[in-house]
Amino acid sequence: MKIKIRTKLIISFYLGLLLMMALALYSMGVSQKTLQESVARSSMFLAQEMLTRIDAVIFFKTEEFQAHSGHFYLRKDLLASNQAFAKLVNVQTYITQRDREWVSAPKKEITPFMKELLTNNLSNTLREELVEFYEKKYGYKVFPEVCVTNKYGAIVASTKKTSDYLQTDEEWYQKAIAEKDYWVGPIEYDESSEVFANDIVISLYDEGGNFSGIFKAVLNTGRIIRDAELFGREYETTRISLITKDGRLIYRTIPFKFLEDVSEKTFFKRIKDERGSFTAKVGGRDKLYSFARSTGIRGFKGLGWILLLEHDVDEILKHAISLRNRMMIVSSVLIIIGMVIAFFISFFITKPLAKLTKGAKIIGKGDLDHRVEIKAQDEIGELALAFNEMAEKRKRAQEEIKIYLSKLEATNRELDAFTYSVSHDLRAPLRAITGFSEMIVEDYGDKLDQDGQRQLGVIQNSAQDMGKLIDDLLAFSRLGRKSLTKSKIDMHTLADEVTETLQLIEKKQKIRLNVKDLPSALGDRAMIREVFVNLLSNAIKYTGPVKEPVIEIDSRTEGDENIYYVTDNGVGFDMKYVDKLFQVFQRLHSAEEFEGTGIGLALVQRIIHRHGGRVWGEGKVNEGATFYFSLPRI
Amino acid sequence: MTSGNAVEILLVEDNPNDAELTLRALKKRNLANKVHVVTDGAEALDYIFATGSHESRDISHRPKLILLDLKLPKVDGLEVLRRIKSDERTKAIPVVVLTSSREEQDMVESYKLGVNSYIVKPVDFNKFIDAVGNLGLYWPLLNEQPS
Repeated sequence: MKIKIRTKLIISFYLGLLLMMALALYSMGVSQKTLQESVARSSMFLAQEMLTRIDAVIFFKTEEFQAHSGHFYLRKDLLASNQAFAKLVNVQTYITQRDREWVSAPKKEITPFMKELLTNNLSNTLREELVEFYEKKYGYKVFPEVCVTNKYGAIVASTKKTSDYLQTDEEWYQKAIAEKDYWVGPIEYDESSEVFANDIVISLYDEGGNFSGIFKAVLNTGRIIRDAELFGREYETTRISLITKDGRLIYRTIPFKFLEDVSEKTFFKRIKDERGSFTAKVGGRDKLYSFARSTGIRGFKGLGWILLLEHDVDEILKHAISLRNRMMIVSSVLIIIGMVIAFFISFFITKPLAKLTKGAKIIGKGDLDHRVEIKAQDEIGELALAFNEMAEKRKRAQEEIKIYLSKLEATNRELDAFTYSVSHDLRAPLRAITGFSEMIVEDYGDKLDQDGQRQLGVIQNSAQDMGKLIDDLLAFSRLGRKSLTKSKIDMHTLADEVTETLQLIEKKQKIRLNVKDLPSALGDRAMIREVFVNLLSNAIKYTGPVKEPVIEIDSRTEGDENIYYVTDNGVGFDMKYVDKLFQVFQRLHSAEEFEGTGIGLALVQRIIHRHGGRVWGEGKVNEGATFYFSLPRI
Repeated sequence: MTSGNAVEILLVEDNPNDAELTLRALKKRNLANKVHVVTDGAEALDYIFATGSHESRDISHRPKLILLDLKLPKVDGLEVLRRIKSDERTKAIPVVVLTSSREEQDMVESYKLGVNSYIVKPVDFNKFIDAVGNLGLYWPLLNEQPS
């Protein structure tokens, strides 16, 4: 498959770009994931931090409350109450009765008994030091209610009217006794204080280590948490939820219902272990949840609350995604720019190459003056330089060849002219020799003796021989100067013509002459005729001594040539001398054996060479000879 | 050689040997005494047009035949031929080129110029004699010319 260099360049450029883009996208994906994970982790720790602070806030309030539990006046009053109750005949009856009275009174009513309790010293002190003090400090009732019960469970002091008198059935009461130190109850809606609060209860002991009563406060946790500004947020869309361990909402950054049950929600169900994070799809958006469970602080076990951070994944990744989108846009722009750049750059390579190719073709077609112009300094420029050098060398070589050719032609022409004028000029003296010697014979022949006549005869014969030589030479040279007139030749017909011309000799010598089918050839008819004349005359001449002479003219095809041959069963020749056969005047037999000047084959060779063919001969002494000549197939 | 008035054949030949052979041939036909020989082209023209050295000749007395060799000194044979055949007074004179050259060029040119016959001198003596003898008989005697 033929792919141009420009295409290859552009493809590799784009592959490179695509790889880069893929790498970028991959790293984007990875960094997004990493970012998400790090956000998950850091918000997990944040949740933990927040919870610790929440625990701390509650713990410190507890501590402060605890501090108050050691007050001297508390002990004193509690002791007094316990002692007083101990003196009663039937404590239980008394307590039960008081309790019934307390409960049956209308909610808002304060009975004198109640009033007495609510305004005794302890109550006032507690109210002043805990309720009002912290209310003034924080602007809201941190401890909306504080009360004290004696060891029998009856209210000794309270800052607010409690719902009943006897507290032993209260959960916090039982827990206080069980816990021995202090106990923080679960967050609940406190009806009397009308706040979401935790009960803090501390069991008190006298000097002997006996249980003497319970010190209880209601901690306005709901408000504390709300006001504490504990919840900082990195992302605006992050939702923070504070949930009890059974799935009740204590706090949320969006409007919520206190103690709303979210235990059935999917996200709650996925909260396991002390801290962690997970992702979920909520309302079509991906959310990242991080949470931590309160583990307490110092001695404080904590309330087991769960802080849940809900992040909108898209918001977290907002920057990363916008970065990715920007990168996509930039990449697209880069690709378009890259396309243009690659296109232009490829020009720097393909244009010179095209120039080079075109130049090569032009020079190949023959225009040796054409040079390739490339300004680049790189490898292609060097190639162009080398190329031009080559063309220059070729041009010079061509010119040299032309010079040699013309020299050769000139020499040939000179030779031909020389041969011609020599032969021509030799004729005249030759004519004189033959003429005047004949004149001598005519005029003075009778005055010569036999030997004189013989000697004169020698002169005449020699002149005759010379005449033939000159004729042959002349014919040979004329051939060199004559131009070819090519036409389609019916070789068989031509051969027949020639044999007819020579038939007298043929008949006299009783030669069997076969002319086979011969393919047509393209050539100068007169010259090819000469070829046949010469070859046939030779064949006839050299089969003279043979008893049953046979001469055949046939042909065969080889590649893009037709090979014609004249074969005879005459005296043949020694292959050792085959090269000499075709030279001018070279003979393998003396003039006495066979007449002839030895120019026939040289003539044949010259004619055939001018036609673009080859001539050769094969022979065996006393067995015959075959002479071949080839002509291009038409 | 002969008296100007009886000349029937003008032989233009620079080679004395060839001239001798030609005369011998003509002699065999008894035409020798009617031959005038000139040895170069200029003299040939002088003779034919009665100029120069042959001023005194009567131009109206035209030769019956001109045997013309092509290779001549001074003025070339073809030039002489051209002059003869382009002059009203002389173009009717039969001109036979008698030359050693078998060149196609020379032949073509000669016929173009209006030569009446083109003979190549045979090397063989007998053939030469026959050729010239026949010429001598044919042109001057057999061939009719306007007076």
